[in-house]
Amino acid sequence: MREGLGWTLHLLAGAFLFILLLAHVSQLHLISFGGGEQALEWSAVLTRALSRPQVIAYLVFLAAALYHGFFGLRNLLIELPVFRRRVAAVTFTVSIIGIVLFVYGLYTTLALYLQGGGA
Amino acid sequence: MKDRRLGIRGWIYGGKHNPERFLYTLHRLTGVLLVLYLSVHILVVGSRAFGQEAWEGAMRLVGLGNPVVRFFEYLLVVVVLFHAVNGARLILGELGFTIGRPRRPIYPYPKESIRKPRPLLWILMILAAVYLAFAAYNFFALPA
Ligand code: HEM
Repeated sequence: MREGLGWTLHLLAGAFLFILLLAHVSQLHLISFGGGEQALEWSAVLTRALSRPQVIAYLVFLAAALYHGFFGLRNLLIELPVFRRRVAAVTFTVSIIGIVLFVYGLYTTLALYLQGGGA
Repeated sequence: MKDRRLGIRGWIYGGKHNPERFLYTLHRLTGVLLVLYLSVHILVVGSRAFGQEAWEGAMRLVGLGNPVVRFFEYLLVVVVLFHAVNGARLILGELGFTIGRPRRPIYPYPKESIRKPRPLLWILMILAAVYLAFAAYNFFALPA
């Protein structure tokens, strides 16, 4: 079956996430890579928030994860008989939630970066 | 006519018991868990934009330092690793790697569709297990 652009982007985002997510988990959760509680201290949070490469990575990650996650959620919701005839409504609702989260993530990331003289 | 659509059962029921079927169910389950986690995660880490107090308050709220929370954090890493590695397998399959060329179905049918993908599946799962063993050492053996 031919799939649409949405599906291609879902896979592409998945491939990006593979790298970004493993790097993210290692960086923040594994003590061997500087993760764990030390990484969650305010000074460490601030250092990352003011670093330009880190901020760029966060924003790419944010967009890719939200798109991939909410498109995936839509795909499984529209398999349900109740939503079969309401595909557009499901897509719309899921997109709104994704966009709201994206805007919030974008705002909180950029606010700190710009405030902290990171511009 | 009887409605044969699976409905919510179709999210879980994978048909006959090939390992790929179980992976399908787990992929879906972990995908949904990750969407839920991601949504809460964005809200929690967003607190950093409102200053040190807000951030430290959020960290207290989610129970940073609590061993039970730490255990669940490890489970999150398990969920992530499984979804990532299995997702990589699905992407390789989608792109046509390892699945062989289409052939005329002449009996006895060659098991081309699993000949390479099946070992690949186990190799990927072993790689995930190695990462998870290292992560477990980090979480539970090293001093926090
Ligand atoms: C680590 C990198 C990731 C990779 C390589 C990956 C890969 C994939 C692939 C290939 C699919 C399609 C499965 C199919 O064939 O139907 C998928 C589905 C899905 N993914 Fe991911 N993914 C990743 C991370 C994430 C993250 C971070 C989230 C959540 C925010 C997520 C949520 C989902 C959801 C909800 C589905 C739909 C599940 C389904 O239809 O059964 N994934 N993923």
